[in-house]
Amino acid sequence: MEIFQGLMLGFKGLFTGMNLIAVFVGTVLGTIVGILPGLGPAATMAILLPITLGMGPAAGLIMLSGILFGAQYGGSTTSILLHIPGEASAVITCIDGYEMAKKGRAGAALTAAAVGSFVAAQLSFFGLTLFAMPLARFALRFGPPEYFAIALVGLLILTNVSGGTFVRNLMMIVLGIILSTVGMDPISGLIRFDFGYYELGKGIDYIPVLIGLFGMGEIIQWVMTKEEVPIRLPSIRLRDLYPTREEWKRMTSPIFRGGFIGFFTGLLPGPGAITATYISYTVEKRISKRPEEFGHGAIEGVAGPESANNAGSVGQMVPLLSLGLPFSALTAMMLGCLQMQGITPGPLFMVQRPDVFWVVIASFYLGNAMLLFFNLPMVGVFAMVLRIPMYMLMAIVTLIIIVGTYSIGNAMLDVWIMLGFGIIGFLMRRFNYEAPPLVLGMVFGPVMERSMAQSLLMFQGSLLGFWKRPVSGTILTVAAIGFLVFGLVKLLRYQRRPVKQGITV
Amino acid sequence: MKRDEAGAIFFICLGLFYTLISMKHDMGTIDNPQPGFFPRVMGILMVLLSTLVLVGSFRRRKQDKGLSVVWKEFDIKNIFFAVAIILCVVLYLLAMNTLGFLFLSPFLVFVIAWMMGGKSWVINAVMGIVTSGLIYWTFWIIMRVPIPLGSFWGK
Repeated sequence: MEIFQGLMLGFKGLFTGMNLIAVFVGTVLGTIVGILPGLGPAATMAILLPITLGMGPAAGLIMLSGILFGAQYGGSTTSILLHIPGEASAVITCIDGYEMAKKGRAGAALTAAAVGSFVAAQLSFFGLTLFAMPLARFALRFGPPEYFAIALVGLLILTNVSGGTFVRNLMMIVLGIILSTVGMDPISGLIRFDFGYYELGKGIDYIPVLIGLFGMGEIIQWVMTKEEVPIRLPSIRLRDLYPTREEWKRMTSPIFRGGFIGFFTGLLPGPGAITATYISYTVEKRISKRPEEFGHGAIEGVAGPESANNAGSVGQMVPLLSLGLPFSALTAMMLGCLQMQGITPGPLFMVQRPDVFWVVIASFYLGNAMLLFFNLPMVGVFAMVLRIPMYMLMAIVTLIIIVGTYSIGNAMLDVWIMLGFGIIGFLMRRFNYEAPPLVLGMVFGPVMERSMAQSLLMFQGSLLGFWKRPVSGTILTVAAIGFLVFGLVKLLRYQRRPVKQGITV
Repeated sequence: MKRDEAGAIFFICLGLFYTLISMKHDMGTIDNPQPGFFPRVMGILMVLLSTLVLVGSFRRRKQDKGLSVVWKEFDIKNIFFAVAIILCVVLYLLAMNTLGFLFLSPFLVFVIAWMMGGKSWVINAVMGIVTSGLIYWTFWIIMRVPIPLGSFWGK
């Protein structure tokens, strides 16, 4: 009942000028960046993050969410039509989607992707609506040891599921934490590592770093490679979009399975939407009666992963909205959006700011319906954005990034930090280091330092204290068992590998 | 020097430097951690992890790429343009307070578009003026962000 009332409140607030515009702009932009290879949701969200400052917390978060969800939809379009994944989470769709297009079934593949994304996302929104509130209530009982345990385990899981290797990802997390220690000590208030500069004493905000790594870094990478998309778009008529009865039958179960896999994968730290597509594809292939068709145009290979990536991006929102802990770079940007407006998401978020929370939830339902419309009947119109020359986009984006970063705190130092991290972001790619763990290290650094110091004070220095509390003890024990099992499996696999390959750290 | 070795050595130096400067702050004890405690733990952890990467890189030195991988795979013209764009942004930021956003931004967009491959001077110029105007309108008029308009013009 409480949830129903909340949703009603949300829909009432949603149909005001700014919020409605934010849903529209976010979903349109998301679809466009999903279609455009090279400019992903991370870069777009990073670029537009400062603009949300003038929109209000609800509209800002709605726009960013629209970009995130829209990119999952749009990413499938170029995967199916051109064999170019617009998004990392659409890579797997290329395999069977493009094969279907080659057989003249591009329309059916686009429908499978869009309908699957729609159904899975709606189900996941329902899951988010149901899960977020009880989880937040439960989290009200959390103290520093619990937050420390969640942050620690979350970051450790992230090191295993991000793109790089375990040690390198851990190094990036530590680097992020190190950067977060510049400025005021969260316990004593002492200024550290400012090197005599007043501005540094205020600390390094993670938002300019994030904009630099994902926005400016992307631009530098593009200038170095100048990858243009070969445009030979097949024409899709409206009647081509109807799948046959057989195709409908074959894609129904994968959509529901993909949605389920995606939502629960999204709850875990890391790039949930991307991981979910791989799991979904593997599951569909394993249980299929026609596994030989996978790789040659099986509609299950499109419907399952596309449903999973949308559900995965919804799942990521649960820890952010209910615990205030972002476990991916994309949700870290959403956290930044709220923090810039003076709101800290967490257990009290939905109690103190129900106007924001429920409007955002309601916007997901509406935005998803809009995305279905944009990605089916209007797919041809959106695909035309591929004709915009990249140099135009990149030149405009460079100026937006500079002014946008300046607008966060009206400080030129932020722009210099952004530029510096743009260069660092490019170098990190060349040296095989991942950017998301660094950003999350910066976000979690202050939480970890504060909660660790408070916990050690509480337990009088005894680390066993973490195991004496039920929640932190359970989290740490489960994580320890998980890592032990994971390590053993890795060791066994390593022993079976040919000797020459060696260990990669 | 190989790429992984160079990366690891850089992070070892960074970790050592950070640990050293964190020693300025009191570490306290485990039951009463002070401002130097957490940074010192992180600094040591950084050194240990980087050392692991360094050892690993020695073990598979033959498979690793050289440092030249940073620039080798790219066209020399593109590298030049990337460096030039960064320098343009640096100059833009340095001159911002004096010459102001409205004067400098159309030039920046024009130059960047040209270096990124936009060969039509007219299109680049129109794009520079329109983009700067729209951004000025969005940030200054709507969001009330005090964008520097330039002391040279008396603003």
